Amino acid sequence: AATALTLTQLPPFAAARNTDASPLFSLVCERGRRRLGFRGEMSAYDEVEIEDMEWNAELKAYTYPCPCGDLFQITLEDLRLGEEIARCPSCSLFLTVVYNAEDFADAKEPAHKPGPSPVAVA
Amino acid sequence: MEAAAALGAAAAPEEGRGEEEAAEWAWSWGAGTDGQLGNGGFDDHHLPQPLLLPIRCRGRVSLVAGGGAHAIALTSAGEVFTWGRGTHGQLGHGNLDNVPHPKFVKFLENHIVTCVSAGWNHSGFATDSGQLFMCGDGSFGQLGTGDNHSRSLPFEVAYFTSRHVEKLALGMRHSLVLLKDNSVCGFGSARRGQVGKCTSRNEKSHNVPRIIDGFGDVKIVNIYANGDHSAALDEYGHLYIWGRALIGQHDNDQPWSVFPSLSISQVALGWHHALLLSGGELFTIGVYRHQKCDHPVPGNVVGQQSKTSATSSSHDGSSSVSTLEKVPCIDGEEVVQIASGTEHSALVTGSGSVFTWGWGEHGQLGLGDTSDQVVPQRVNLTVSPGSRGIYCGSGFTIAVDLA
Repeated sequence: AATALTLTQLPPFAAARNTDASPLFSLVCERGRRRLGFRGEMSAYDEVEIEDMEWNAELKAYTYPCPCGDLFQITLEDLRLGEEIARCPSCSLFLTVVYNAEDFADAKEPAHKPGPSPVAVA
Repeated sequence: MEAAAALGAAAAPEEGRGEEEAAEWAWSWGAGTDGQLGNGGFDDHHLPQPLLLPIRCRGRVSLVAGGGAHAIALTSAGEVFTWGRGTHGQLGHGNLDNVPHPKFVKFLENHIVTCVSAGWNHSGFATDSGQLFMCGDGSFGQLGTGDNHSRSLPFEVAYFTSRHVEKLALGMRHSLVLLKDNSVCGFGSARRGQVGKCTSRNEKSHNVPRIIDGFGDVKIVNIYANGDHSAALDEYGHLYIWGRALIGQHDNDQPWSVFPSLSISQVALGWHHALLLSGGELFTIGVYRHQKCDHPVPGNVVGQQSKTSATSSSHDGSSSVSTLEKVPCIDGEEVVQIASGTEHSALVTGSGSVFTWGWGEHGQLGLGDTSDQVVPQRVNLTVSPGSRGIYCGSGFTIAVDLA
């Protein structure tokens, strides 16, 4: 099927900083706010399948990289309860987690994965 | 104007540091809780901070690579410094410590490193003799070592000992390598097609490098990776993309030629957007923060028809209408370098001015607050007499005076 390309509309460079309160600038900002999904207009940053998340034994949570550098997290307990949102402790973003609820109804903690070797074999 | 930047440049010499050392030439700003700002601390900063690279590196930094929460600086002498998050061994110092200041990678001291790249939690170093060393998180096979172990010291990837590595580009969970013989290799997570075609449907990653087909006979001059995206530029400036969809809605497991009418000189990939520099003009594709644009706005529309690669069968891209948005320059200033974090963008103009825009929640725009910006905003830095480089990690930004 034909798909239209999504695009980011970037108005011309503004010489002034955002202290400029001109109606035009306000309009641009308003449009940007809606598109960027500012805090307050909460929508999920992304949608991730549970199999793409990593079990973190230390955090006791499934994790996925957050664009801020931290990790989105959802606990096993959350999943058992049917929670679909993984949150980042460092910022306002959150993920929608896609999983089969039945798989987690009485799920146990996944096996611990081997961590980084402290010294590499040269 | 910017000459009197509020960076405390004048006050520093009194603090007992040498005058040379106090003069600022490298800065960082944004998310800093893992030490990725390299300023000695573990806090976010909304304004440029001095990046504590040794003074002997001044004018000799050739490249800085930003990862999830760590960074790598390369000097013209082939030395490597790393800092930031070290939890998976990605700093290459032989331990798992976070380091809040640039630290010389001793393991590589007998090598002349010519290219570096940083992924989410992994790092790569190519040498003048064509060797490839990798360290950090290997759980998706992104170190290319044939296993899924992580490594805290740079480890030579055996696959490349009989080959000559020219360039590398690391994404969130994958790695791309450009060889002197013009082949492009990929390894690591294959979930979105970012390392090329899978041999079976169940294959989620591969931990041994594999050649990515589909470029034809053209010479590839550069490769790019970020998030689950991959890209390459050929000698004519034609762009190829594969991996997670940047255009349209379908992931692509083989290189797809897009915008053939453009001659592109630089590419910067984010997690949901990309910047393209062509003939001094800046274009963007994709979106910030995964908010799909409902109504494409007619404007400086350039590319029209995308072209699938000759061998493409799975992708229905031949019918995709491709639109680029052009960003006019400020005051006729030329854009000379572009960079992209996960959800923010940065550029340097010919006069050394730095501009940033996009997501700003951690201060990664360096404008003194946490606001997002839809138009490029000038960062308040001292005017550079020479050229200035701009680099991004996931939630942070680094600017370095190159000479």
